[in-house]
Amino acid sequence: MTHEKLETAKLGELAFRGATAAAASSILALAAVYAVQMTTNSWESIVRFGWDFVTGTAWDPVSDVYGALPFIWGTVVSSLVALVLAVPLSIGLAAYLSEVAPVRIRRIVEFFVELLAAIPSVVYGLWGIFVLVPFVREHVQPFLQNTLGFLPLFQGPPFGYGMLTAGILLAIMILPIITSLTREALHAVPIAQREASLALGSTRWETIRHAVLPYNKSGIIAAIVLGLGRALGETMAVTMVIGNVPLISPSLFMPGQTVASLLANEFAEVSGGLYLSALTELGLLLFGVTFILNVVTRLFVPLVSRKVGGAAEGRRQLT
Amino acid sequence: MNAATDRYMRLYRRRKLKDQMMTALLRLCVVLALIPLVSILSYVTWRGIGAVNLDFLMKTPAPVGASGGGMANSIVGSGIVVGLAALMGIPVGVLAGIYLAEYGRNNLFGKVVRFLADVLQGIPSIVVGIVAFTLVVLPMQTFSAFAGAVALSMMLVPFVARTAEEAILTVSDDIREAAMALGQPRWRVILSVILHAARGALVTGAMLGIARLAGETAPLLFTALNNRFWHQGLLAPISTLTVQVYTYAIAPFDDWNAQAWAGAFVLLTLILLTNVVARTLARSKYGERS
Amino acid sequence: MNLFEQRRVNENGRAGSVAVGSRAMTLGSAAVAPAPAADIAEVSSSMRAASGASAGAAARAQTSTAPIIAAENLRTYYGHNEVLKGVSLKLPQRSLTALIGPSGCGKTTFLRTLNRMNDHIPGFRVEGKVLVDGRDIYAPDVDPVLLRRRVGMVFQRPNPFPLSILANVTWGLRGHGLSRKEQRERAEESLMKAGLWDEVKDRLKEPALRLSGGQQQRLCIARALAVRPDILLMDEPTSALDPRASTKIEELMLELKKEYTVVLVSHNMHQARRVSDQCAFFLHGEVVEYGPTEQVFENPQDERTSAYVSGRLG
Repeated sequence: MTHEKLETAKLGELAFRGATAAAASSILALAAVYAVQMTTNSWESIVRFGWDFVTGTAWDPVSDVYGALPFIWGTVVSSLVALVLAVPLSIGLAAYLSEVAPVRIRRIVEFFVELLAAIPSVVYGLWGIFVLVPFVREHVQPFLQNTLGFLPLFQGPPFGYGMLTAGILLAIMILPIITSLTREALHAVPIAQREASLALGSTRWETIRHAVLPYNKSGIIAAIVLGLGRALGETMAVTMVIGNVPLISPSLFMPGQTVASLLANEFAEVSGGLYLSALTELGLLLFGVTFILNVVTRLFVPLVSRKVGGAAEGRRQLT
Repeated sequence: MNAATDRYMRLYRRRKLKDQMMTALLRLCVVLALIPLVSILSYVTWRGIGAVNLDFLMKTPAPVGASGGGMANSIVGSGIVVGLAALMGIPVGVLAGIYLAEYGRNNLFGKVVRFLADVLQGIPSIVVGIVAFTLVVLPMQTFSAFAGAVALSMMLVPFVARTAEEAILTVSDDIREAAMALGQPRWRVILSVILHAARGALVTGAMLGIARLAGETAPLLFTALNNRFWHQGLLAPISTLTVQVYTYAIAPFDDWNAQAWAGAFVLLTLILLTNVVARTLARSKYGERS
Repeated sequence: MNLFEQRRVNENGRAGSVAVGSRAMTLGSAAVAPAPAADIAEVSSSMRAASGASAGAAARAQTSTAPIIAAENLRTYYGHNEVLKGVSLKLPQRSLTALIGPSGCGKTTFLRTLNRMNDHIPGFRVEGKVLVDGRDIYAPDVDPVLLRRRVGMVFQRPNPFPLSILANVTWGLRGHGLSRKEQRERAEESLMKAGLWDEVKDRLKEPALRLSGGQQQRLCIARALAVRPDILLMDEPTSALDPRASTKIEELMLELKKEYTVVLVSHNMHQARRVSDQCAFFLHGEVVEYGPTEQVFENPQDERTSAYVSGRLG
């Protein structure tokens, strides 16, 4: 090989490597763009309202006063309802898949859980409006009122639309991600732990409960937190069933509004000024919280060594 | 000794009962989780198929008050926006994936990028919409198909980067070394041998990414907006299937609601088909992870 | 029920057991004469007696000469892969039987069929019989949980739970209906038997994973002893340990076999020779030779055995 050819080869390598590195940098840049764009565009509102923005309860574009507490309330409450419903179910499902199910049934159920994850948010919302809302109004809410009606949580007229329905719908939507991440967490529990337990004369449930689940607690917590991140930011389905009334009420039967649903409702109608800035600040809040949740869990809980697995891996990420 | 045995047996009966009850409860979890899936799929099919007709697939929306019309423009619009987003996002994502798998496996930059790519996938899509709005819509002073595509591609890049990385990592180092030992520069080895060996998994990843984009609504609400007409260029607002389903779902008109079901049916069919095809492809060609 | 709470009182079993061992000795796989039917019926009736030892009391005095574990033409499969190809063995109680042979010969599989540890492996299947105290443990009405309570196991790698030392030892006592104090006493007793008490008595609340490998393995032995099994299965318990730790475990085995029926899988012929009373040589899923340890090593009947024990065979 002549000297020149060698140079060209080197140049080619350099160019290719540079191109891939540039593409990789774009992900870095993307993160920076998120942070910078959100901050600069909400700066006006941040300066103007300070902490009042998150503690204020009035949201009035006409007089340019913006307090986001009702939306934060709605976001937190609907997500908590979702977690309360989804966490036991997801962990149970993951435990079933990993510890109980025969291979064939496991494959089938996993396939169904993947399908659940692939359904678009807007389809969940549509189903929510026409199936879940009437069902909650006619069956769930009267039932809760009759049995647990003494709790403030379950008082008020059964609208159907509201926090409870949003929470149920969110629970269904975050079930696949919590399930699949929990499943991976359980996958990381050494067989030796299960065998140690069984060999001591434990039943299968005792092995699951006392040897398998506790072994990778942090992995399961990470799964829950990432599920929470999903719930907090979920937009369309919630917007369609929560009622979109900025209320702070102890009752889950009452309508509410979340940060994301407010954005979905109002952002397209804004042209600029303080209103836009305030809406962007809501987005920044959402971004900040989900970013931190993701960073913290992923930093402290390495989510199961990412083994090579191409398509299987893609499947994991989609859920 | 016997007393202890008796006590153990007595307790064991209880333990065994608990074991059986809890196992039953775990099975119940499966049933509970599958009820919504079955319900959604059957409702969408049942109410959707009834409302899908030729008009729906061929026509644009009827004016408010008039009956008939369809979502043809939205279906095409979704194709345009998602296609454009894929065109912008997949090459960047694949290149980034190559970097992560080949050059940045262990260096700090690679680790940071990998980490951020994971974190960004957890950012709500509505936030992506806001950023795209401030990046594209505000400066250009118009909602546009392009803005929608930018929003979607911002979601696509991290996803494709990670799936491409995983896909490339499935190619064993033996192949890498064998090709390099023949005196080829690394970039040529990657382009000719490794991408070729990983192509199935790459295609699967890209298909899954596209399927996911096709179902996104929130990032399009205030970037692509909506449009009652056929597309009018990339710099004009454009209708997409998801936004149209949303609009029609929350509208107080029965025939719009029916069309929303039809739209959902078309959307879900496309997405689930893509998913199933992508996975079957991955499974049949590249074996399955045990 | 004495299926799992039968303490052997008889001390004179050793010589007799070996005799039984030799009687059951076999070259090849299928050559074992079936045990006298009456013998099995008697023992198994004692096993089936659900309430107390009345039926077992008589049997107990007798069974000292009877094998506590007997495999009859045992075949196991992983999917279509036949691992054990008709193994018949009788293991006498209160002695140590070593299973030796090259890797992949089926000795570990055999060991794990004795407490049905292979049950949860997909595609695993058993043909033939495994009798523990005359009772077929693969019979449909046998509860593996109760079986495992009686047949303890120590694994190749120490596998303590990520809990404190004390919590590890008392772990298996869940559901035994013992008070905290009783559990604590049981833990102390087991740790003493496992020769670990002096090393850990002042730090019982410390995480078990802080112990050295050899200590962890002895902790696992203590953990297995705490539920008071009659039989102890040991699957190459020293293979992950350094020589000094191994020696300690070996010394422990010599103590344990006075009180328990120990079945040891060993990759180490010197170890097998040092600690075992009888020895079974496995090859390709069959038992080539089974007899008193001395005989197997000094005067093997089969060419392959002598090749293996002299180091000429894998």
